[in-house]
Amino acid sequence: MHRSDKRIPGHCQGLPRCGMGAVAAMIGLVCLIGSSTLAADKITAIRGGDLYTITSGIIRNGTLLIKDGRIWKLGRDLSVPKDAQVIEAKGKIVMPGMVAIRGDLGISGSASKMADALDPFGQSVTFALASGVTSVYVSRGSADAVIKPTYGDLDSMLLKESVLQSLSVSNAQWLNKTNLLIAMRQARTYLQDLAVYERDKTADKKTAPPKMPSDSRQYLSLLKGEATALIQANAARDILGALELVDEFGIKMILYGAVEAWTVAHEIAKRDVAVAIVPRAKQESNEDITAPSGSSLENGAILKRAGVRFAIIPPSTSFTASNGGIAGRDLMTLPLEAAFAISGGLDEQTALEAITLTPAQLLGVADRVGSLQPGKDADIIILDGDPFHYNTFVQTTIINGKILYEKDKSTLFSFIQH
Amino acid sequence: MRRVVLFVLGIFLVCTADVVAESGKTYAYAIRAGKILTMAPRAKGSKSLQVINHGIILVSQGKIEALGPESEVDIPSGYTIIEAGQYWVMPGIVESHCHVGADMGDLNDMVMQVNPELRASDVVWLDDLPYTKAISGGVTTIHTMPGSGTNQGGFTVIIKTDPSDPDNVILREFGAMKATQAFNPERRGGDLGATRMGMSWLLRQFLAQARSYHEGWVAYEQGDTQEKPQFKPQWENLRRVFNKEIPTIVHTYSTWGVMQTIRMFNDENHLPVIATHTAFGGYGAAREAAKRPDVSINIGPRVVEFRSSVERDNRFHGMGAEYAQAGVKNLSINTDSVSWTDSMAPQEELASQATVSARYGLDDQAALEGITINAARALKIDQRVGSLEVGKDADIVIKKTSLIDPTTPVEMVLVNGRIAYQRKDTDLITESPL
Repeated sequence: MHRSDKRIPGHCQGLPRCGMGAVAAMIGLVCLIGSSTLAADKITAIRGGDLYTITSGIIRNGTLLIKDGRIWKLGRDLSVPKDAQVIEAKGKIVMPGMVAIRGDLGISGSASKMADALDPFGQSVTFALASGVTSVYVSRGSADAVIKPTYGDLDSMLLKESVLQSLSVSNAQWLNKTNLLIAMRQARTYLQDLAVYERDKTADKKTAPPKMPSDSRQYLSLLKGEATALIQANAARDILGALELVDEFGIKMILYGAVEAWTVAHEIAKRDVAVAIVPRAKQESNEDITAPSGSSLENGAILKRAGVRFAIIPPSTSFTASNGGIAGRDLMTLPLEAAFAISGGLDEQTALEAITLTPAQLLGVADRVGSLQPGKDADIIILDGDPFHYNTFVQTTIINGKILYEKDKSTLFSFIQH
Repeated sequence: MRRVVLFVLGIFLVCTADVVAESGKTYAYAIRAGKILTMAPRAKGSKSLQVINHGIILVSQGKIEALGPESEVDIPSGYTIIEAGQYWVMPGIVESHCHVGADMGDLNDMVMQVNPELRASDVVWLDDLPYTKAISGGVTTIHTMPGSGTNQGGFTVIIKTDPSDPDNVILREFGAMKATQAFNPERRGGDLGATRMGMSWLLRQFLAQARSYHEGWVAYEQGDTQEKPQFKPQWENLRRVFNKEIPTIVHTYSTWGVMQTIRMFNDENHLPVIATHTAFGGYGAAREAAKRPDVSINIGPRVVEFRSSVERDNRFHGMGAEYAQAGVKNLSINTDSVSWTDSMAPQEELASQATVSARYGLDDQAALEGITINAARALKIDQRVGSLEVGKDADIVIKKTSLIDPTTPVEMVLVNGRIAYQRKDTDLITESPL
């Protein structure tokens, strides 16, 4: 990868001129990135790579232009403006940064508001960049958000807040589910009463507004269709139990885990519920029943055939460097997890979508990230080979048009030359 | 190769009847392979593996009877054809270090610090689910062993992964002697052996006694002395170790630990030794390991480290790559999988451990060898398994691409010449012999 030597006026060439970088240097952090910020009106061109757009196929030997931090144009025969910063990508693969539907990224300590817990210098931020994962859904306590690993840049980290509502529902824990149903029905009654009150209040001034039941606040946005429920459900009976909520309340839902989703794929498809699967997840089949049960490597392929949208996520959702971690099973190798789904018969295009556009859609950020389309954030990764080959590494990671990681210039993986 | 064909025909004439008679069912197969990756030892200095494109493997009586290019191997009549023209055919994967097939409570006998009387073969449980799953990942031989709670946990066992054939499950009852030099036994409080000095003394004393017992018997057997040594069953097991029939496998970590393993077992006692785990900067001793032909390195479950404890260098280290670059040729890869938790790499994902090793800098060939022939050689079972060669056990994996490519599933696995696993929907058998 060779970028043009042309330097941009005001371009940050050394740490002392970068505000955040200076902080990093002062507190003794090693700056792992070529901190190449681009002036707002400058154009960056990624030239000659195969553009995996996700939404409109692969553009071989194409060019992608970035302007104002967004994807400006892409195609085969684009002319590159004279003063553009050029990234040569011949023989490389250019694709949108990957999106993780759950992960541990960029959070330090605890806080009730995600914005108060962000750490743009965290190790997970550096590792996410080197792994090509540029948007991650993070939840901690009652707070949740989609976060970008914009190293050193606090202001760019939050892509979206209050994204999903985690619900705990399991038919195996019937009391738990009964309580949930009671609370949701109360919340629904409240909303109905509120609508009646709103309709009648000008005519009949004496009516008091209905009282909001305690603990129902979290269900209101779900019932109004403003939020999506995230439900951990692996066994088929738990999945079906969760689907009953869709039938009764019409809420939007993502099933997380969904090991046995393949056994009830059509039930899920009927209700337009999405899932997040761990393709290599293991669960023994239940020998006490005759229906299919347990895990299947074909989970993804079967869901695809049934028309269910799904995202792929590895068994561990951290960016791991600790010696306790077993490598190859976390977000540092997200495509490797998708490879397991491919070995179960899933096509590569859908597998790519499951680590880019689909999770972006499920998180409600597909207008910004998840594909190479004009107008979207320029969150782009350049790979040195097939996305699903185990020896492929991210060469360059760009977020909001800024180059935040270059393998050759980072200590992390530059020693690897396949 | 012509000689092979003649040999094949000879065998066929003599044996076919026996094959069929044995159980009323023939186990004679001819595999037509798109590509055979034999994993036979590489020629000295050669960088590439032995590959036969469009080859045939004949299997009978549980063994590989012949293999070669289509033009050189005739398929005798009566052999069931396995049509794998679109597939790679490779040896079954060999797990060099795991604990499946038994419960943790049965594998860690925590009373004595040294336990030469104990054998993992006494507790192998063929219904154990993680054990029965191994085959779906192409794993055909596993080396399962006592835990690392004591300095010498007993003896390991080497088993095949086809539980439907219990008579032939055990490949070798005494797999290796298991010893532990770092970390796990240190957790015990108060006893001798809680410190590394104490552990070293316990193991040295133990080895000295075992060696003395063995040498006493050797002297008697060779007629050097008329005085018959006293028979001690617990030391009898150790004679296999000092005869070098079986290796010692030593749970060890860090440069200190790997060096301690090399010195104590190989330098002081001249034993063939497998240093296993060897993480947390253990590759600091890689060059010393490389110098000694009887020392082999067995990595896993950790195969990647960040910012090694040797150099604070803020980079990832592929452990396989570190050892290989220092010249270690005897390198194998494990999962260390267990039956009682799913937080580690499960048994059927041993190939993934090699995949990840390759990703982080070990070359693909070495990664493949690490889960086949090198693992077999370290365990001294390479005359039976680890590669596809005439006379070896017919443990065979059929898959669309390389063993370490995670994008394709294992289609079919043979263990001891029997079809022990077929992926649902796979139908490679096209001709019936009778």
